[in-house]
Amino acid sequence: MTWGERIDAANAEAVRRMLATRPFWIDVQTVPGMGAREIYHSGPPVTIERMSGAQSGALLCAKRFEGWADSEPVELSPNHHHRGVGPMAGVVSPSMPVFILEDRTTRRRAYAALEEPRMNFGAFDAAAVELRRWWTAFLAPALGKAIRELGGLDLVPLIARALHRGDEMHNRPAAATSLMLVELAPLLPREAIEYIREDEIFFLSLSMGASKLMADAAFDGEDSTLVTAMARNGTDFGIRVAGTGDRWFTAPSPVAKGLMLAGFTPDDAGADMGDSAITETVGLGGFVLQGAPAINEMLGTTASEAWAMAEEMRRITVATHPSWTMPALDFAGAPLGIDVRKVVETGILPLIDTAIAHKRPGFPIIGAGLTRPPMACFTAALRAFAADRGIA
Amino acid sequence: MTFATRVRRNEYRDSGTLMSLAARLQALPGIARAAAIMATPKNVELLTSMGFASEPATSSDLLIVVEGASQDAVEQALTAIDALLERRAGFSPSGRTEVGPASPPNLAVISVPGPFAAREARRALRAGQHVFLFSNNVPVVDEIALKREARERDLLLMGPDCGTAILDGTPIGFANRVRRGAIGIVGASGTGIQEISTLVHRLGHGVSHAIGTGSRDLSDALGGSSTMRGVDLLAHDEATEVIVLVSKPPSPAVAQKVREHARQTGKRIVECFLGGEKTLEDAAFEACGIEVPRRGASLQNVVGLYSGGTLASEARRITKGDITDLGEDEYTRGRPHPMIDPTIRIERIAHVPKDAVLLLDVVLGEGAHPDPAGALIPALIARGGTTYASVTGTDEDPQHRATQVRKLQDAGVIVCRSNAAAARGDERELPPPTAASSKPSPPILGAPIVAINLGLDSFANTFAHVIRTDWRPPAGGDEELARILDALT
Repeated sequence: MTWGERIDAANAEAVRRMLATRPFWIDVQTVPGMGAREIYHSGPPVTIERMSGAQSGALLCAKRFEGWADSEPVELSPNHHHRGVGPMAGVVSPSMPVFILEDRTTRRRAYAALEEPRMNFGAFDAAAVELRRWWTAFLAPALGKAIRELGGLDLVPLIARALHRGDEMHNRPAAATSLMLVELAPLLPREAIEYIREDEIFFLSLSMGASKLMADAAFDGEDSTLVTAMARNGTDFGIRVAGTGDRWFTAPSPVAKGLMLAGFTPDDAGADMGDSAITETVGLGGFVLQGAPAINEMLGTTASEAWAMAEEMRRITVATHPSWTMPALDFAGAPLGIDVRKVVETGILPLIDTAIAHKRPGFPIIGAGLTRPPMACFTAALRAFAADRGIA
Repeated sequence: MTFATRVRRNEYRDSGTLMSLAARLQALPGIARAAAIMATPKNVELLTSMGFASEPATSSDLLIVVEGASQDAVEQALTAIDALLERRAGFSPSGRTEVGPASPPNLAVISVPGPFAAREARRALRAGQHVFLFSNNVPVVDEIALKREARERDLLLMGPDCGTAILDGTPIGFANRVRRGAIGIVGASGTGIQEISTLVHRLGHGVSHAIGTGSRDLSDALGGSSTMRGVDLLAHDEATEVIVLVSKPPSPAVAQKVREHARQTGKRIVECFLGGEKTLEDAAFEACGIEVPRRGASLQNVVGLYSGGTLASEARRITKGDITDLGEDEYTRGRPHPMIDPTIRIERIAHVPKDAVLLLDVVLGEGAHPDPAGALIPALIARGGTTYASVTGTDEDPQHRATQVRKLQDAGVIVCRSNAAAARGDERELPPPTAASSKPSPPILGAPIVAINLGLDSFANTFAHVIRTDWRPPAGGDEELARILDALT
């Protein structure tokens, strides 16, 4: 058996396991087993010194939320090291509830932090802290109670239906938010319904959590060259690959280009940030832009440009999702399983559609746009994969 | 009536898709009714109320039930589900932008830079394609491996460093438009094939196929692998009556092996392994069954500026003069081959001493400069002195040989019938063409050629059916990464 054949077989098995995953949202609670002074964050590991402006702002907000001093020393580690993901800054502190998801096939669990437009983007003012307090005291318990009563929400078919309704599940999970709300509404207090109704992107946490469970199914794929995580902390962009386990391959994070909200210019934009590229890792977000034309204005692109860029993702993936399909493409499936070999070979980088945070701490969301990872992450991963196996 | 059910776990399809699936299952032979649903409690209840069988499933599973006359019919219908659900992607997932004929390619024409050539050739062979590998600078170890792989797959690998072929009358690479006929050529020399095939044409005969093998094929390391394969193809080709073997000086052991292999074909063999007395012209005459012209003496005090490697070495052997092959790597690094770009020859012509005899080859055909004679003439006129030249080509070539000859003659150049004749200053014309009959020749590759072209876009132009690709070097041209990719693919 050649290496090529071995890798192809390992990749096929990794895809099989990703597709066998049945992610359910089952609860809302704090991250189990989290230490009293631990802080989890998005992206690959980062030190306080190298932390981006927005993530530092979110960290400060979390400390204030916890009632700690601004100077309180904390122990930092990435969400991904704890089977979790968080949007944008992705900062999670011990008292902060998160969405709990479970793979009904293997009973593996994952968490996803709350999506919101303030602390996640680096704001740490009273309004930002207050939103987190309200989430913790009111919305999280209400959602937890409702989802437990419902017996969990099956996310793959829900995402499939949302894709048919014009979502891409990263910057636009609007239909998914509605579909979720339809399931939960009878079990929720009115104030919770009204909050979610006003927050079209609310479902992002769940599409990220479902994606994380799927990607983790490929995580220990021994000789697989599939990407199992793409994550950014606003300083570095990092990827993980099945065949190189928990190692990160990092390079400086790029700045996304797109639409800036009123009052902000591209000069204000911080480098790309968040664990949300886990959605692209399993074929959502930028990989299914053809099915979500309503998002193009916000990304600063056109339907035909988005179509061409997203179709290219088929050249760097090894499979298509049988359930996640796009009617506008004659129901072609989402491109699934990013093969590091194909990325390096073709020079085509994964397409990520993302929100933009300020480069300095203290601001809410300032824009949205498109970005791609640095090629250096993929070439380093490929070299390491080969070196581990004594090849070339 | 009997039922068969199938649960596809964890698979979501839109209700419209499922209705369409059910309708298409129902249309299959022996099927009375079919249903396809997402197995929500409500859907399952509806299904059973309609008298369908069911089986345990959850709301995230796809449940398909067919009812039919026999167990065979319902089981058969279920096997069609995958095909009925299959969707086409909008773009080719192959990694190449392909626009072209519907039938898959059977010949890859590869002219990408040397470091990336072997991988493309390997991919083509693995895709079941014969290969014309123009690229040079392919390491010998890669050539050995590629030729082994070609043998194992029963495919023809022409090259690496193969400049010329003519298959089914289609010129490939640097090749001339020649009449089809009974003479097959297998050659480890591009300009050797061009000289022989054009002389054959001008003598009134024709070429069945000309198969290039790559310049190193008759070395000990390669053992004549592609040559033997080429001989085999011509042996089975009904139109081929004569097989011409042409090569720069081969390994004696390999030459002997190839010679014996060729003899077993039972066809007439003309051997032209350069280094002996026999010239390319002699081989062409012999192949046509025409008496070889008596040899004259060589030109003296010759400075040769050549574009064709084999033509240069032939001229060097005949004249023992100062013959430079400007197609050598040292002259072509960073600039096009002198058959395409006459600049280097123009520069050099100015420096040839007035009292020396200048000797030139002018090679026509597909791939070559559109007007090589016209390009050289100003420099030749400026230099003055005596110039002998040969023009390798036919009147069917895009440059039209007679026109090129006239331009040179008008500039005072003495144009000889062949390269060997020019080297000897032999101004006798070719004998008048004799009519030769030929049988129709079936496709040499077993089917009409559908080419896929990777590299120089102009190489696609001679094919009736060709897929043009926008080839880019892998890994942005990083050779180390490309090697890793090769090892991992």
